[in-house]
Amino acid sequence: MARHCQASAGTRRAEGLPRIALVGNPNCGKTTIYNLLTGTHQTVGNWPGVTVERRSGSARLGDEKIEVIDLPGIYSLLGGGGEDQAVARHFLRDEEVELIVQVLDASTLERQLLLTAELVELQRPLLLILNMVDEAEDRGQRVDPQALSLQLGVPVVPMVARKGKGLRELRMALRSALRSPSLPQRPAWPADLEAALHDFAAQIDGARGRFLAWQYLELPENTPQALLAARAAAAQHLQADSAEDLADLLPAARFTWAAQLAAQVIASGGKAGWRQHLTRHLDRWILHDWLGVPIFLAVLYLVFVVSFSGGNVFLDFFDQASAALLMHGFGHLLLLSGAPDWIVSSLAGGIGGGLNLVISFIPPIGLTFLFLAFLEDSGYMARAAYVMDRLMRRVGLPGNALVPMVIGFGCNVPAIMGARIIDDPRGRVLTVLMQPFMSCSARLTIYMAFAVVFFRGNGGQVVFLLYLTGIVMALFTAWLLGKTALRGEARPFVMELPPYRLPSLRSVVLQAWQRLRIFILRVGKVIAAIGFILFLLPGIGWTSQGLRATDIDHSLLAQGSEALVPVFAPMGIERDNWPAVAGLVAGAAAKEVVIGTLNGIYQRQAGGDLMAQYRQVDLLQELRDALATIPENAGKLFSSLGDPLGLGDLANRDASIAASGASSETLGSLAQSFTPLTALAYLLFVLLYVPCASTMGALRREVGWGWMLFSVGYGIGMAWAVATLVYQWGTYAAHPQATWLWTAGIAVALGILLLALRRQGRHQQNQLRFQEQG
Amino acid sequence: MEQREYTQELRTLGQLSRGARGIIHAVRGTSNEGKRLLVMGLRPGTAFTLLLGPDRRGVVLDSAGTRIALGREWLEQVQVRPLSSSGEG
Repeated sequence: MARHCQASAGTRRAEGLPRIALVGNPNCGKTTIYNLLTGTHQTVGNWPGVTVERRSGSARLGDEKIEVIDLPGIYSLLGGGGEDQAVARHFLRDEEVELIVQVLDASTLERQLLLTAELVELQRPLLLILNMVDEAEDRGQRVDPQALSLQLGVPVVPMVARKGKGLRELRMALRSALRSPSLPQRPAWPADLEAALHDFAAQIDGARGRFLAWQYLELPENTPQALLAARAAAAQHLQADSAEDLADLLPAARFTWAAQLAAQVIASGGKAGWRQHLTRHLDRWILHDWLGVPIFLAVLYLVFVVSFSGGNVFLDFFDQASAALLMHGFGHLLLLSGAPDWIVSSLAGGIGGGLNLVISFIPPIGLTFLFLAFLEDSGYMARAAYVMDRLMRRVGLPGNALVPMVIGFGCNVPAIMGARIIDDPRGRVLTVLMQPFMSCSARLTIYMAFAVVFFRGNGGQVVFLLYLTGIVMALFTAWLLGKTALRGEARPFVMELPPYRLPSLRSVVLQAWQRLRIFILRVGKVIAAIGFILFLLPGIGWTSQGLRATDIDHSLLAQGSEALVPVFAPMGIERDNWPAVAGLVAGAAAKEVVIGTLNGIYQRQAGGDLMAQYRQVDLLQELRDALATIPENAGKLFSSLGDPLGLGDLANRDASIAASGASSETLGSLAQSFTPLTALAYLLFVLLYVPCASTMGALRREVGWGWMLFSVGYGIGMAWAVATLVYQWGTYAAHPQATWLWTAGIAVALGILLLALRRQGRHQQNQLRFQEQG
Repeated sequence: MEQREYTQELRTLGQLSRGARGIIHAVRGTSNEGKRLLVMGLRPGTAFTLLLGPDRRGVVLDSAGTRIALGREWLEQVQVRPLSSSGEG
């Protein structure tokens, strides 16, 4: 029978909303349920797919509104796992919540009940969601929710969350459980264990005494000094009749309870269904000893080439339509309202133009996010981690370091946070330091602008090559640090492989939308701020009379950038291409700004009557023209898919400019300022140099100031070295001596770095030895 | 309780072949490594079927309906008792 809590109405939050927390093992469908309940009413503070921090959203239960907390997947409240699981543990143990909702994968119920055994000991209101009952049936298992509810004394709701089945019943059950919450019934533990827990818990203050008693008995290292004697007495009592170690005896009790309960509520029969057969057959190929890695690389390649080619179908539409609305239309409105020319050009040209460039890249970025969400929900990502484990281990990392790396393709910030899933501190630091080299979506905007101009025929392949370079540099960094400053071995790989699932369209679209939203909001804010600076800096400069209004070529922006040009000369940036340097400097704040900066400068440099585009505007015709590009580009889609990794256009500047069909002044100016080779060197620098300000903040938070500063310095150094080497060797025939000189200089610098890192590693090991001896 | 017939012979995970069934006997190494397997539902007494491997990567096990991938370092660390083919897993 359920025991009912006294305080149902009195436990509401200060904000007035009752709060429920979703908890469960990884891959149990918790986030799908969170998405079902909250829809788009979510606080975006975490990267969907891998929940490493709690996130919250609001949901409606009839006329009542509640707060829903989504916690990272967790296997045990007692310990284990990375920092992400610690977040869930602390929340469940210490934070106020009206109802804990455990999501269980019905197809692996026995194992999922191990967490239930621990939650029950917390003695907080509990509701169970028996998710994926269709998969359990596919395994020939029928779970009886009523029997489970009766045994545990809490409501149990069967669901197939992926298909939205059971949502109505869940909402009703949540309403009812919030009105009259039930405390779960404790399992009937063996008598001596029950007695020991009872006596020990009586000596621990607070509401969680019973749970803490269990924790201290199983994990003695966490026991407070004041409770050591009480723990010893309880342990002695338990071990009086058993030769078994407590670390074995206590889990054994949970395992036995889970097995017995599962046997009581599951009716087995029938044979494994198609899903099991499919998983078995697919795994034979996807996890194949030799084919696993090529399949993984092929999947990544397909994702990016299809995203780029598919995105190209809509790219021109987004570009032209947003230019029509945000630049020409907006500028025209401002003119009509009597705004002076400088206001019109800075708002419509600067901010509107910057936004136009970013909006143009929404289709390929959105498609990339869609594919990544599909891969995550399909069950493939865990397999990819296992497949890559052997290779990752060679650079001293566990296979699951791959998960943050893939997230890093979207944004480096959540990828750095995603490294919390790695339970080994050394592996976590290495994984964090790799992330700035993963090519994020912001960098994609720059690649695409350059690809459109210089590599239009095989842009997908060039972009893929850049992504691959980022991966190689990330792995090289981990290997280098793992052999020098952060010596050690990766912990052995262990990971659950969920069955393959056809992801629900709603879930995939929602995840992709959340990521796109973060991207758009972040870019929007940055563009607005930088737009102002870009208006100011190009308009004033140092003259013989001091700081005065000047033309852009004599402005502060030009003067500062020109002073830095010599540093970038070895990678092919010439003096008159100072806007490229200005873009890199601004890009240290956020990579999206690089193109925005170039856009602002090139527009001003173009001179002429900048206001003409705002005076004569035929908005409807512009939008019609934009729409017409969709069928036109769709016709070209399939020809680019079959193109192999061809880089022929790299050598032929005229051909690439002719093929570019650059539609804006910025793209046209890019074509004038770079050659394909300098463009490639520039893109490599953009890929590898200092991450954005947000990434630097995340680095500092996760690994501290020291490693953050190292990461920034190392990134700039590597970016410069790689870009210089590419340019120097690409133009070797023109200046062989200089090429050898720069190469030798870079080799010497790398050698010095290696020695310094080894010294740091030895120093740290000595410190560790000293601490151990102390 | 389940009826299982298993041999008394102890082997390592790496000595089993694909499709074999067994029961975990012990996990050698530090207690932390044992705990990492414990939270995944693998502890002494747990029955499993070896679905893939052992190969250069390690093995994939099925335990109570859950597929778990273990890297090759575990092949020597996990001691098992093979279940005979007539036993009920």
